[in-house]
Amino acid sequence: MGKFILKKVLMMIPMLFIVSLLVFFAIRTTKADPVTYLIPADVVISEENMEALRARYGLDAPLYVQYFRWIGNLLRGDFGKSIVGGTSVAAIVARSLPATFELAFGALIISSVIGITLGVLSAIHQNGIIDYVGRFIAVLGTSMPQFFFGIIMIQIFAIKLGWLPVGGRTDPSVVTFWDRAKYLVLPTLTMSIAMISTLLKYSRNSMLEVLNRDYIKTARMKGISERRVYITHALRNALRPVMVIIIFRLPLLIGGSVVIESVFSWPGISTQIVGATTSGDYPVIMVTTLLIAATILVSSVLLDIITALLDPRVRLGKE
Amino acid sequence: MKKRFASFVALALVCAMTLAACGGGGNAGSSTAASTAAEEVSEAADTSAAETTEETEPAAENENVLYYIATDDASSERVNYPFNNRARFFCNLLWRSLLTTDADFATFKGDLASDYSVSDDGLTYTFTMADVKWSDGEPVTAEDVKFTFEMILQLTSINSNYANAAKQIVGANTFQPGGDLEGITVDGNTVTIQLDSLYADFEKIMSQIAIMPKHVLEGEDFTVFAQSSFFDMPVTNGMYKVEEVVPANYIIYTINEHYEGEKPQIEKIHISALSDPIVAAQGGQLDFWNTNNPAEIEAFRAMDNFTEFDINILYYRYFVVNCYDDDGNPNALMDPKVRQALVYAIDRQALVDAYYDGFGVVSNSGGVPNTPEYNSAQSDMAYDPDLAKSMLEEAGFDFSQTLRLRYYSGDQTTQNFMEAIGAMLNEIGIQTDVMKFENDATEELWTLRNYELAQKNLSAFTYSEWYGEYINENYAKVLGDIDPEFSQLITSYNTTVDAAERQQSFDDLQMMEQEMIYKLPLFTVNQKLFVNTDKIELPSGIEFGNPWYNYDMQFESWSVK
Repeated sequence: MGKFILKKVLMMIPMLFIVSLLVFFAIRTTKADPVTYLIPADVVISEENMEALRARYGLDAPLYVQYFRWIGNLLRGDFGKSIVGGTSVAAIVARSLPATFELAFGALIISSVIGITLGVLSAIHQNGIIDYVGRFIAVLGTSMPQFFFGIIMIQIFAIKLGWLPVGGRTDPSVVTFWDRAKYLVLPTLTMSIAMISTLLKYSRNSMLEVLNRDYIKTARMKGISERRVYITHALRNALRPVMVIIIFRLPLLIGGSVVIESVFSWPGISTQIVGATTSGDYPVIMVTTLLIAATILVSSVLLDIITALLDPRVRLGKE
Repeated sequence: MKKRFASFVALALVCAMTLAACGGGGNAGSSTAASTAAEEVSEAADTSAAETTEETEPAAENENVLYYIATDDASSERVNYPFNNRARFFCNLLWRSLLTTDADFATFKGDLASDYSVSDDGLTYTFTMADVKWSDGEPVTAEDVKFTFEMILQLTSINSNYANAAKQIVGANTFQPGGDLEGITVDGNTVTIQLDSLYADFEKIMSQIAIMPKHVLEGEDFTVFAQSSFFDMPVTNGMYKVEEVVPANYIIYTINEHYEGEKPQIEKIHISALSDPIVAAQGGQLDFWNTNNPAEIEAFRAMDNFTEFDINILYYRYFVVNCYDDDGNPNALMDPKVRQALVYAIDRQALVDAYYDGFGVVSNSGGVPNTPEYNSAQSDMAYDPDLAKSMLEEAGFDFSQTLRLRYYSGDQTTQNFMEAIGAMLNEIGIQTDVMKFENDATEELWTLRNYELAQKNLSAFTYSEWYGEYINENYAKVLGDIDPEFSQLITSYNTTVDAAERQQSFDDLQMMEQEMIYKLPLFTVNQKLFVNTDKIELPSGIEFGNPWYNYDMQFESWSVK
């Protein structure tokens, strides 16, 4: 097991290096000059001042020198500074990555609890009312765009009823858990809806498949109670493929939260990337993109490990 | 089994609660273990917030707070940099200038200066400093004023009005960082500014330049001042100071206890990082908003709690004309007749009626119709496609070429009227390619210049700003050498102090501008200001001015009902 993990981790190093090359050169070889983003269109700036600004940000050096300088600084833990706001990129990441994790994990928990519960109940009560309701939710979650669902949620719960804030992550009045939680409710629910639908369908199908297996019939013939059959024998086996789906969705939730963060003005990493892109803040774009890539790589390694742990047929570290 | 199920539910709940509670923003003490842990996580993560945040009391319901929003990243990360413009009212509440002005920007009185005088030749301005303190308790001095002007001469990102005014000061052209600006002398609490030549708008500019604290900023690298950590938690001299900054979440202003004037009645200003003003207003997070976006105006009008105010400002929408092709050779637009024909080819009144009904005015030069300064002798250049076509044929215009029309504003209205303009030009046989700029506007407009007509906006503080564009380095790249007579008229307008003579210069400027069409005028658009008057009590008879500039808003008399 240790060998398997070590191999996976070591494989990440060249991959991250390649990603860093791609990120750097993709951003820095565009024809856009980052310095011009700092100057409003109405402001007149001399070429001399432009050169001074480029020199100030090290943009006057050859690209390969800039790359090695950047990667060297990264390895020393210096992520650089935003050229727009002057804030350290490390501070931006330290602030926005937890916000995105919070949203992603919140959505993962909500969608897992609701999706699996409804999926299992739908399978147990196949073609019953619960099943129809579950299937309706599954179709709704798949067909309705997240941003539209989010806007509806804001209109109902924040504007009409006034129960929850329209957006943001915190305010000065936040003291208790409930003060804080109110900001999470709408974005996590909105983010959950598509995943609830996916998990509901997977867990329903998986459960139905397991319920038709011979060992379930044997268990029933043995006189084991229905509840025990469902929970101990069926659910445990039915959840294996569902668990893989859950873990596989995590990196997608982190990298794909841009719509939710935008609708709810949630100050996460995706908002940072979008903002940095529109304002030409290349130090922020490079680090945040690299971090998301690293997060997805780590999640993939975790996925491999957990899949191996869940399925004994996967031999760790063996061909 | 029941135990296992209960354990699972409990674990899920704890996870959910911890996740929900983690992250930034927790300030005061907490009442649960989960939130205590969350605050520790928050403190570790939000390092920049921790650096810039002071301990505050939790806000209560219905407190004496005015809500505002920061819609872009730069404004929500930190306090706005005030040297491109005074950047909306929340900047004006933090910093003051030597002078202040009314909403019409025509009458001036001392602000940081208790008194001021202008010499008979109009070249020497003497300001006596009032007894004012910075928010850190240090006195605002005449040295701060000198320091600020020396700083302005070093800034790379600076409003052209400020830069032009500062360049008129004796010794400005030879000033080097770390040197002494010869034209500004300090004697106790008096500061004297000596100009090289007359500058008609100097008092106006003195009412705009925010004076900065020398004792805090000495040694700062001003080439990148806009990115300075000073704006994380700046020292201020206005009626408010910055109490708390939680980047990308909110900024709180509170009353500056060192402010010597009448204390404002509104205790705090809460600026939330929310991107949609309509949703923010509906959700009670926005009490005050100015806009010229038709969709926003319609939405605010539908909210009963908001009252609408008109603001007449010089907000121009026009085309920058690029008279050179991609190889740097003069193109068809170098001919003034072609440029005039393009004006006749666009039904500007139809555009105003369709998109800016009630608050847009077709413009034919820098002078705005229905204002006292407008020269009514100029033609209205009304839509006449036949005339446009014949003028183009007369000028030998090649109809097989494609005119590239570009724009940078991302709003739907701009996109719509640009498409409409493309269609109007198509009607007289001109092929067009209408597209939004792919890169940053500054780079596309002045460096790449891959366009023939680029739609641009200018919220001009004065007419000088509109005409000043013609003689700056950027426009030289697209226009080449402009007529020396036109440059002379601009200089004359900028340096003439006598009102009648100045109006004569302005009349001449408008006429010649219409003849040359160096910029292709479309229309000017007024601003609408919406105030939540169900909550905010405004002083009676209040007048609002250009929201991008500093003026006396009588904010001390605003109150929460």
